[in-house]
Amino acid sequence: MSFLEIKNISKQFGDNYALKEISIQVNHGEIHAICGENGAGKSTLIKILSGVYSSGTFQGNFFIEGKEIHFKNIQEAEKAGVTVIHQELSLIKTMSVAENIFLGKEPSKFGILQQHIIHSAAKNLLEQVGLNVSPETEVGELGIGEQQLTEIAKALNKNARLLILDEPTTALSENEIEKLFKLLRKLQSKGVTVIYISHRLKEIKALCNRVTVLRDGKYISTKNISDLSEKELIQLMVGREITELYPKTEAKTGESVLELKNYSLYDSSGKKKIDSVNLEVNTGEILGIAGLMGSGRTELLMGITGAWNGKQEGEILLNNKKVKFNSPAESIANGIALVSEDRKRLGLILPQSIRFNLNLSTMNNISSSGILSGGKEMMRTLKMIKQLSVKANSTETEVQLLSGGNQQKVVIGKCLLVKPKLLLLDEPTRGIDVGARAEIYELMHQLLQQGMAIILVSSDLQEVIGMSNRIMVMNEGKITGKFSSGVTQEEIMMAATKEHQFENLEF
Amino acid sequence: MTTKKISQFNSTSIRALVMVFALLVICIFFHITTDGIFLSAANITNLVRQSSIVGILAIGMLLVIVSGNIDLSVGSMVGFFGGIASIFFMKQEMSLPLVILLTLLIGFVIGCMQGALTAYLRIPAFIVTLGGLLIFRGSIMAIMQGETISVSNEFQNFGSGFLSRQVSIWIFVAFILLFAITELRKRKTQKEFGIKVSAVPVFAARLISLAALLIFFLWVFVNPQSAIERAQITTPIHVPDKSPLANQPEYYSVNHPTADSVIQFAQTDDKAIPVPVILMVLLALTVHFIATRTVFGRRVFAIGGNAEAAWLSGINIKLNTMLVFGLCGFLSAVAGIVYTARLGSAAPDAAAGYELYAIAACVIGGTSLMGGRGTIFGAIIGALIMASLDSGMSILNIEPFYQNIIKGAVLILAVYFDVASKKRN
Repeated sequence: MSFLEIKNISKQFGDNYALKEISIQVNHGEIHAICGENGAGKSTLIKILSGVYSSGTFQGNFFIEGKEIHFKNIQEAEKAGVTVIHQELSLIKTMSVAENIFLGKEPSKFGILQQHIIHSAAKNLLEQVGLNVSPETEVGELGIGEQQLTEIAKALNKNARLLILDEPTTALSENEIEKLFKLLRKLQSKGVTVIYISHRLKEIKALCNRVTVLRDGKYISTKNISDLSEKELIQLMVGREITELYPKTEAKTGESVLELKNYSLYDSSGKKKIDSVNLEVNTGEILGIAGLMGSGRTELLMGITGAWNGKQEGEILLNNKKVKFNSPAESIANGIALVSEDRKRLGLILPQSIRFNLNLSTMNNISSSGILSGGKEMMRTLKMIKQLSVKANSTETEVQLLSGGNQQKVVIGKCLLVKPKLLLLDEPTRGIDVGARAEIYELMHQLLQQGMAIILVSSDLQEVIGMSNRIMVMNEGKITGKFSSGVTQEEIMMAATKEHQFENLEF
Repeated sequence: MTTKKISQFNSTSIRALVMVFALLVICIFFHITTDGIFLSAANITNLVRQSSIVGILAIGMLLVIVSGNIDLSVGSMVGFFGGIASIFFMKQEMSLPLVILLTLLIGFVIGCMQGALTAYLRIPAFIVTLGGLLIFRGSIMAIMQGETISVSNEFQNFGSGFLSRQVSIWIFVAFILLFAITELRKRKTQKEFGIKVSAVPVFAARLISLAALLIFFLWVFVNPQSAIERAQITTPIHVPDKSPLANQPEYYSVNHPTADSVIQFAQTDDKAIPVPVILMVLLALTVHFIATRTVFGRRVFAIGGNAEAAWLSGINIKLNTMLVFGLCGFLSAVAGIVYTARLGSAAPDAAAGYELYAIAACVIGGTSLMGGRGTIFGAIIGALIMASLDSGMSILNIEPFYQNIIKGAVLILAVYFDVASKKRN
């Protein structure tokens, strides 16, 4: 018998259908993937199932174990055993791991918290999810991956019967993903039904039993995973055939743009975050940097752009000249632009318009004596929107209303307006649908042909391998592998998890 | 996932419309309950004069709040700068231009100092300016030794002076032309870039309604009835101690019998726009320009919207934060001069609590206390709403403590509407 049955659900916003007559059956105890590009209707569906959109604000109905369900709010959904782990974490950073896990469900006697129960139960849950931290740790001190695991522990504490995970692995390392999958399989064997939403097709293949594809708010099909290749799945999602995700147009590589010599970074407590790194990037070339979360990839980029607050050692050579940047303003002025890993937190002014955001780094170019020229600004804005095919109603649309892919294009556009010699991309395609990804890859190749140098940091190994001329692997602040493009994912993973140096070429 | 269709109006312009509507409702309500006194030319003149000091402070406060900070010291700064200006002028006998220049400069520097403590030493603005609130008030009390310093007529012009009718008319013509030209130019650029512009009748209606509003105000300012009131201002009426107006020298009754001499005075009167009002309008236009059309203004909005992203985009957060406080200090100094001029004397306890009115004006005007959002227009409307409540309730002889309760409730209600409208979006 199906555990969850969704029948003819539609949801409208104004004249637009976010979902149109969706019907899905999810079997008891299966891991059911739902995938589709951004805007396909996945998030809306989750919000309906989890009571965010209360009964009556949408058409159609759904049943759990044959009983029709009318959730008025999230609390009712959780009581019925439906728990969502959202892509954007909902933890309170100033509270401890244990306090977060028991938030809203605090065991108490006469209103007094029972600390020992909280502590021991939290410890138990953390073991279950394989998170090795003390329950007393403040959540804000954890990395994104660890916070995600805390979130899962919190969900487990609610005795979820239907667990909905929305892009749970975007911030996790391969190790952590493996742990998560083991955990989900364990829960599955205990009879928990899982709905798994992800962009990562490889993960869907590895984890799920069946997959339902949505496109533009419509139901496309439900298939057994074993009957489907990755390519077929992409075709179902995109509705067209993607011949080659990673374009291969060879650009001429030329002289050195950036060189690091024995480059080290220390954090405020004096701990070494980057340990004697040597690297070189040339014009027309992409240097890929792979590594697990916390391996120092992001810190390295922060150091190069002058955004690092701690001590630095070693040399940075830009066009063979020694430089030292004290702030991002200085590195931008010298032609280095960074697309940071977390676009909402570090890349965009969310309540402001596309025009505002695009011109943020280059206001001096469109102003004289401090007064902005509206005409120049508008010209550059429209040109960039066209070049990157940002989909939006107007230049004045607030960026927080854009989809992830279009937001990322705005961040990239802001960097391109700087006319950089060196473009640093930190997880440029995280949480972005296949269509927009292909466009970003295509753009990167165009930039190479114009003689730009690119450093690409990514957790998506296929992406690193597919896009880079050379690949560097980092582990605990050190370079543990240097590869040319012929490398396999396994070789990279070996280097990313071991102290020993791997390489298949000299550079 | 976001809805693909976005409403034609952006949220800011809707909020602006709601605020103007709220102001209209308040005006009509008081007009009816005060038997037509509220919207008389005399009272409107009085009302905009009353709103000018809070308005000037709100302009400075707005940018501080937009940058993600707060300035609790502006009320004390008004007292402080008013006090030192009167000392420079009356005791040191400096020339008036020098006094003004010096006071504004000190205002800017002291504002920058508070900004530096916030930006460079990372002491929260709330704390720095809370300290400032106490320090400035204490300092001016120490300097003035609790005494009140009267200023001469020359100085008083900034608070109670008027522009002549002829100059006023030219100013209004200039404003109408300026507005029409900027709107037309904006429309032309938008067309050039293929951006959809509003239909011609809508556009024309917009221009005409603004011109009509300006002409209405011109009529108010040159109205003989206003002149009568001005005649009375020069000799303030006696306010009994028990009246709610007793401690508020800004308020003068407007509906008492007029003497023949007063009418005569009014007929020969050549006064129109009150000086503090034109000051507020000019400052508002200037800072509006700074906020929307300059690199500095853009940076302030970026810093308030997302400081980390702004920094990574190459913006000097510390310097710009300091300058925002400098501007707020500068405007507080302007307000200090106007306040002293208005009362004809500087008292050590002048303008106590005005920081709260300025913050309230910004918030009623739709400014987000989280930073990154807000308009000068909104802040001015907020100040007008506060002044309308003051004025209307004073005419109705409502006790001051009830006035405070009502103003507090309106503040909370305004923010509630703001929150509720955002939720619906």
